[in-house]
Amino acid sequence: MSVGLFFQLLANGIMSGGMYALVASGLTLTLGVVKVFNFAQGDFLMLGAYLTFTIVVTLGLPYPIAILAALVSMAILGALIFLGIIRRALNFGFFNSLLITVLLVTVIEQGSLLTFAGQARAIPPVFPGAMSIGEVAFSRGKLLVIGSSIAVLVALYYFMKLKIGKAMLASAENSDVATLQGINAKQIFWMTMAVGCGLSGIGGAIIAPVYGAYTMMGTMVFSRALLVLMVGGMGSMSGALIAGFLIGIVESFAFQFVGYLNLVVILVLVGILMFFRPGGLLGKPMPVPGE
Amino acid sequence: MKKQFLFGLLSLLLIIAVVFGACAKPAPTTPTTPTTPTTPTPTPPPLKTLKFGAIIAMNNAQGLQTKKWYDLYAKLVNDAGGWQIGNDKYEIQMVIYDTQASATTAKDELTRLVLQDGCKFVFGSTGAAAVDTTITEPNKVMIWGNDFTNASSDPKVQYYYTTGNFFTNALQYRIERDVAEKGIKSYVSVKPDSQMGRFIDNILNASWKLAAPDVKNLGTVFVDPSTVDFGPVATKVMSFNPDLADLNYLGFIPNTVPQTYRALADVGFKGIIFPGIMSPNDLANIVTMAGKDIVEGGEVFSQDPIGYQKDPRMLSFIDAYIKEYGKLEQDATSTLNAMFVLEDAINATQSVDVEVIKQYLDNSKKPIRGVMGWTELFARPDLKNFRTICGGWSHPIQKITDGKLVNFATATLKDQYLFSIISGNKLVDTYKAYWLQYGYPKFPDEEKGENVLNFSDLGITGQD
Repeated sequence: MSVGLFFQLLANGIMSGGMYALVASGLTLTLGVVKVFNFAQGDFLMLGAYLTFTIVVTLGLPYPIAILAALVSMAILGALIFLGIIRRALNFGFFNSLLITVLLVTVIEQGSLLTFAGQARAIPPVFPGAMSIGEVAFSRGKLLVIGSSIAVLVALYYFMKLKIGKAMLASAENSDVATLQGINAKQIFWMTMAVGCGLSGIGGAIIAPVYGAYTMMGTMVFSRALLVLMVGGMGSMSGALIAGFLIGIVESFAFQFVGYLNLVVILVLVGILMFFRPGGLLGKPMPVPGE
Repeated sequence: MKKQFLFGLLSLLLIIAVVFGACAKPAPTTPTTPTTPTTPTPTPPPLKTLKFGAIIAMNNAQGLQTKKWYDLYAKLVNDAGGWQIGNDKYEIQMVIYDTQASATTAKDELTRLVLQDGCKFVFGSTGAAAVDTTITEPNKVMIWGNDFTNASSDPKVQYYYTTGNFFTNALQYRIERDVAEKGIKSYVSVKPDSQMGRFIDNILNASWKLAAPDVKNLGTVFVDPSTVDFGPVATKVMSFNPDLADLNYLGFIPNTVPQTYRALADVGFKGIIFPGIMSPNDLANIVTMAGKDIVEGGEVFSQDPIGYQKDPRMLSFIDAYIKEYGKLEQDATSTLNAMFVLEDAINATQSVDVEVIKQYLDNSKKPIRGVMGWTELFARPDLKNFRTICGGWSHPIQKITDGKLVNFATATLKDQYLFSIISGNKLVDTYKAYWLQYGYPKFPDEEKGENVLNFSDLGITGQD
């Protein structure tokens, strides 16, 4: 393998890893705090991407407005879904809420199919073309994805240092004790859901100029995000970040050498990791739902 | 107490209404001149129902449009008063289930169509004839499937038909020939990682050998259908350093062709890209994501009947689609090919009996017009199946000119048939023996001037 090829594969992996880390962060936040495993997490990314298409292409508005709109609208949607449906389902146990989110996947995807007739939509690239450093080609659009993903994750990191972020972490640790300390756990829950879904929404807006918008993109990204969650550790934001990039890089290298079996390679490596570190790289022990 | 009072009040009001109605004087009428009593017009007999089942993956544009075409066909027949078959008139009932691209769901839905809904004619399949036939064969249900493997043409299988299967390679052949003339020396094939993807890869590589024996096959990159980022795919293609990337058939996975184009553009691929199928939406997406230059001059399999279709009846279907749905989408314009073949069989036999129709189809030597070109069923003597059960279809080839798809040539039904036989599988002698015994297939006169291949190319005279 040439040096150029090595760095090209590394660049590919980092580029896709950023996307996985973004979705996994939202998932781990929601799971850690609200104790809801949101199967529709990827579909909020898809909605964010389609919303970006609508704002940029159909309405002709600037791209930054699409990013803001995707963040805010998916956050609001996530909060409404929590307050309207998931909160009630939680009263009947973890699995009820899980089933609700599975149902959400169907509703969101079917709605997308009906609205966009199953057609993929392309968004004009913000930074078109590619640049080369030596033998390595970097898509400008993908560099923007990496940079934006890292920026969002850093912003999330500092958000969690704020009072509200600390309240979320406290509720994740132990919601009863957090309530005793004066934290309104119910309020924290819907806010967390909003942040989690907003993360996916902004992720969709970030990747849309590179990957376009299509109905199944959410499900595809979600399947990778699950692996990121396992590797990074449930409830660990920094774990999600590290694992996202790791999975992206392994996927990239594995594809070069074993082609379509790259997913098998990833799963075997994840299995080995789970054997030695069942909680993932940086996972924390979580109470079993219902206990 | 309150409920009882309300019930009583309502009952009283109803009784009062009936009483007033009965007592009301009839309105005075103008006396009319007595007329000669006429024979009462007999009420037409109620329409019978002809059920067609369909299983479609409706999580993509092709599937959604496929449903639209089937619904439209049923609507047009029913709005015209029904279908006269024999002594009965039938309304069509389409029973369509969504498989969501899951083979398990498809099997369940097929079972439901056959056992619960009682459909005797089914369009679409699980994708594997070996699975479909466990349900359709014992129940003698005619299925128009899309399994590209030889399992669908196994002589033991009695009720499985396809309209686009083995005999569909002329398009590739024509394009490969054009491309070889541009001086390419090597290619890499990019195909979906699926049973059909691998089968198609074998067929298409064989057609490359025939069309351009000097062009080297550097390998195949198989792509998982759940791939999100195509950067690694493009990097792998580039690492082979080919003159051409053959993406034919990759387009059956939604959105993969535009993504692959973009990824190849990102890594600086300068060779020719052969996309196979490309819809106007795909082309628009590629141009948006990667610019016009990367697609310019490319030749694609067309699904656009506009400017190509001249038959009034087919044009009326196109017009009806546009009227019903607002615009002509082009991801599934060949959907009704199987329906038209079945329609011809039903009209010819004036029967809805599966065995009667089967008898007709198994011996058909008739090209049938579709919205996209012509379709015909052929036998597979290479598999010892001498019934005409396996289809081919013709359609235009388009060239990308200034970012738009423009009709360029036609892959005719005869080319599809002959090329598939010639294409490196050493079938010529087998088919020659078959033709001598069973007769030669007929091809549309309309396409005569566009044929590239003829029986004379095989040393057979008098059949062109």
